[in-house]
Amino acid sequence: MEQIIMNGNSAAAYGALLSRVQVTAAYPISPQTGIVEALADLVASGQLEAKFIMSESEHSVMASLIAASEAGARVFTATSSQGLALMHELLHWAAGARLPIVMVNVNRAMSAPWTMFCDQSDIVAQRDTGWLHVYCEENQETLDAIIQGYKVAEQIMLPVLINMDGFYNSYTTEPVSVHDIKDVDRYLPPYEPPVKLDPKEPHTLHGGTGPHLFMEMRYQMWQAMEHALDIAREADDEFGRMFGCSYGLTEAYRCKDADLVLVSSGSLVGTLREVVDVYRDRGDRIGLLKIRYLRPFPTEEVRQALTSARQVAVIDRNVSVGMGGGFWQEVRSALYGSEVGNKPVLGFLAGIGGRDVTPESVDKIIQTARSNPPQEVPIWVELKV
Amino acid sequence: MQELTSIPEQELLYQGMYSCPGCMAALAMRLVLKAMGPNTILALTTGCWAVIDGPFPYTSSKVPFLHGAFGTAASMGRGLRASLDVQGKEDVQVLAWGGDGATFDIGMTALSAAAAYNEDILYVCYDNEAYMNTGGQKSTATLPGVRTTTTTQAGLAGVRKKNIVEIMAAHDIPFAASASAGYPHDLVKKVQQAKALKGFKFIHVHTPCPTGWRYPPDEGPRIARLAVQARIHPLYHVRHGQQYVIDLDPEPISVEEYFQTQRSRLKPLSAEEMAWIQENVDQRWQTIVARSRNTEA
Amino acid sequence: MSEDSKLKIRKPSRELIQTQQQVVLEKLEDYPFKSVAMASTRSNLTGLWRYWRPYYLTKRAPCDAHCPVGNQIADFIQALHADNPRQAATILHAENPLPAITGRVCHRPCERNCNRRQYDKGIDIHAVETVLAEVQNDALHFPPTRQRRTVAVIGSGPAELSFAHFMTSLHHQVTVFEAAATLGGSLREGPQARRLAGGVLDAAIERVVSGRVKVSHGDVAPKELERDYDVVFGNSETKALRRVSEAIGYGKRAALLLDAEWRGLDPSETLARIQVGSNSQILSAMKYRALLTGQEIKRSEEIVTYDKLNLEFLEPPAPYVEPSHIDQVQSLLAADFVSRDDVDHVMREAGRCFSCGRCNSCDNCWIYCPDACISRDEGVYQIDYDYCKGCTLCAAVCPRDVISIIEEEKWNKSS
Repeated sequence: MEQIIMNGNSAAAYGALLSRVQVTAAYPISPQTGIVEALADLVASGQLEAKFIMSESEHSVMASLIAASEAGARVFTATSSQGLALMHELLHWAAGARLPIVMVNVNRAMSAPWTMFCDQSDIVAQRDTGWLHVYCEENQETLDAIIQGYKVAEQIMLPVLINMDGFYNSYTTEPVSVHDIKDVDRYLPPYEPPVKLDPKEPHTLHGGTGPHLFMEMRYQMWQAMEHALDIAREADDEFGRMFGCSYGLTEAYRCKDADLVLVSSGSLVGTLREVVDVYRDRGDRIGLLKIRYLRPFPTEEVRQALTSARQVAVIDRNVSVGMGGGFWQEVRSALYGSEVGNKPVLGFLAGIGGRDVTPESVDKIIQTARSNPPQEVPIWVELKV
Repeated sequence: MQELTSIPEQELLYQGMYSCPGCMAALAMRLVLKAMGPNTILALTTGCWAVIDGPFPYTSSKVPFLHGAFGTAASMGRGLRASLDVQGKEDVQVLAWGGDGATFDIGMTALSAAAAYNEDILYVCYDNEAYMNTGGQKSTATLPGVRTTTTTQAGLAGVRKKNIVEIMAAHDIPFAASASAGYPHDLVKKVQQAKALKGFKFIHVHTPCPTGWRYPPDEGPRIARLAVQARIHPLYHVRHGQQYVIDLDPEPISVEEYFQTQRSRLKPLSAEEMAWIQENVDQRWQTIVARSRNTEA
Repeated sequence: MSEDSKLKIRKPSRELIQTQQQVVLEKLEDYPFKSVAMASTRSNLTGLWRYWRPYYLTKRAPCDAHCPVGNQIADFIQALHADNPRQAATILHAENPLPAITGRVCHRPCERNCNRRQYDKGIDIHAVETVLAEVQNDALHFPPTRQRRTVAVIGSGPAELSFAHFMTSLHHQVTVFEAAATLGGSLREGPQARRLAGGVLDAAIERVVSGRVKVSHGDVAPKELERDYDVVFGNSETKALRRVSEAIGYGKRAALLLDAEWRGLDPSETLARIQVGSNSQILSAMKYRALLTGQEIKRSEEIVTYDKLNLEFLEPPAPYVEPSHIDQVQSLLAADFVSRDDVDHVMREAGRCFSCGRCNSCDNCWIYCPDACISRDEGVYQIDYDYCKGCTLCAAVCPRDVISIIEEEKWNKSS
């Protein structure tokens, strides 16, 4: 095990290296380019024994990886906003094809207006594709999530999207422990697909499916996703035992007796931790619920974490125009009809398009929450107008 | 054609496939698979063949078939190649299969990349000159003056048929060829030649469509041959973008005569419009002839 | 998590189901976890789509149909082309007892009607016949008869020799009465005699009579013969036949029809069953034998005219003749009336024969069927009617009109 100072992109590349991915295809897009370049170097130097396909578009990236996975290889890629959107139809395909692909998405706002800065609207728009979604707070978590991602994906045969924030994670350097690959091998055995393309045992995959069969095929995906909660927890527990670090599907930080719980994901969680500690030192009972898995949604854990809170404030770094932030919708939906359902769940839109969310911004959020604003509409934070 | 290549015995398709009676694309697949042999994986993109293979849970293929999204034949081919190679299975043949819509249009970027990177795969485009699977809308493989469901009004609709073999040859790939389902021996020979080469190989197979072109089901081979005679689909191949060889030079017929076999397919054209089409066809043929002479010299 | 509640990813079966039964998925456990095919399309009986039904039917080549002798020319040429010279010679000798003669002196209506003549150059059929006349062959055996008759033949020209040959083959006792010192009649006279010089005629006659037919030289009294023999053949009618082949055909016809009458067969039905083409003067000995043995010959006497051929799909001729194939023919030659060059020429000609109406295993139908519905075994082609969609592309690419088409419902009604 080595400790290295590295940025999120490098951590992602190391995650792929340690997972012994066999085929990678990629197209560069800021702020993900570091991953592509790191992978190219790792493959060229022979450190990573893999094939690197230089694709001409993200749509082709995913098409190539789907095929490579169907032929029995462990595959990996990374992308961002426009690129993720460009492969959107194939995200549905990969999940429906039950392929254990792991992809890192470096969160970046969707254009137009044209931008390349951090925002989660790219990934939140892909909630319905059937992929598992994991949100990482720090670079170590990204590296670890990739390894865990394969472990989970290859058991339930669904793909996993691992998110890190553009610039805040991808281009911020932190110390990261790079595990010994032999240890990782013990955690993550080689990929053995239940079915693959092989002339020695020919199979035809994905012929047209009629209404009389489609629902049952989708239902099987649904079941797999249901099992994913337990399998993800087990994978995370085992990882913790072996590598000394587990993350949970959610992390409830100082929520037990919290009066107001802030709910968020990604790098923003790092800032919220600091603020929560400051408020707690003052005696103000603020808590933090970090949501790590958005799919499958960890309903039980979210409900439990929010039991004692009088108020909930969900902070989204994304917006579905006309409705509000994605996490806000998911949390409200998870609480609806439960014993903990009848408390105000406020939605805050912050940091959209890469605007910094500082501790002062969080102060404002807490103040606004405590002023009991209407719950039905999301609240835009620090608009200049 | 002198001595004919023999057609391999083994059938790699099951009967009961869902093609229209007389489908030349079905014939093309049957012949290409025979030439490729059983150690092949096929990446198939949306189009007629996605349906011909049969609905899940059925298949007409004896080799592994991977159905994929539209326009992904070439990119799937790249993925298969990488995956097989990293697993030490370099001997397994990869065949990417797409129609004219999938190849000339929606999959063109992926195709160009695969060719530019000289991936060791064979790409076969079966060309029925329209988006036949969705009912017969115009593609950039449709000849000018042809009636499709989106070109019903009079006039040429301006666009020429893309010269796909030249586009592929411009990538300097080891082998770019045109073939026809009406010339099975030539098609099999070309697939076998391609199979023996490393790098990106492209074969453009002309596959007349009885349903879309509105001719009786048994006339496919004859019409395919007439298309070669009319030089609408000349049979030639190009190696490394430089060496041009004409494979067949039959007695020519006019474009107008060719279209006599598919009366309702051609819109009523003026003499000038017909002359424009003929001139276009002649120009392309002359270019091929000139380049083949350069090659001989 | 208990074992029961663990997610089960079931490995799909290694083999595809290949029966004609539909796949039935009832319980969730029956479903594959991803859309992997479980069965072939063989349960999709595309034969039910069919309106037109193609079927193989051997038809009559125009050379056969115009040969006065009743030669099965297309058949023996194809046998020779298929490197089966003994079989070819057998077919020839079955119908024609004097091929060495007709090969040299016949007026060749076969060649005049050869379809290839309209394409580039007709086949040198007479040359093929001349060579095959010398090749060892198996005799055509007719089933035994309870009606063994005594036969007197007056004269020994082509008609008489032909009659004598077939009567003997049909197990009757034949005596030829020839006034002259040598047999042959009109064959010994005129320009044709020159073409048959050098022992050709003697050898040909020898083959017909030696050990098979009694010969008596000297004058005879027909009335006495009529008293002593069941039938007497040979008169001014036969002598008036100028053309050798017509004479041979005449003698053959008389012999076959007489034998049929003696066996108690219906004359007009027999004629219909054994005639060649549309001419009731031309009969086939092989068809007569099939009739007698109850063997069904599926063959139409419909003549394949040039317009019925699909020559744009004609396979190209072989670039050369294998020397070993010429050797094989030469090894079977009984005499040296023909040279190696003759054999070479004739084998090239055999390669040019269109084989009108008769399958020569060119494989076009098998190659072009889009649905893989045609299989072949030892030269016998079969259509799988469970799946044949009736596109009839096979018929369109058959260069030689072997595949006929009929409405499926008409076929069903008649069978």
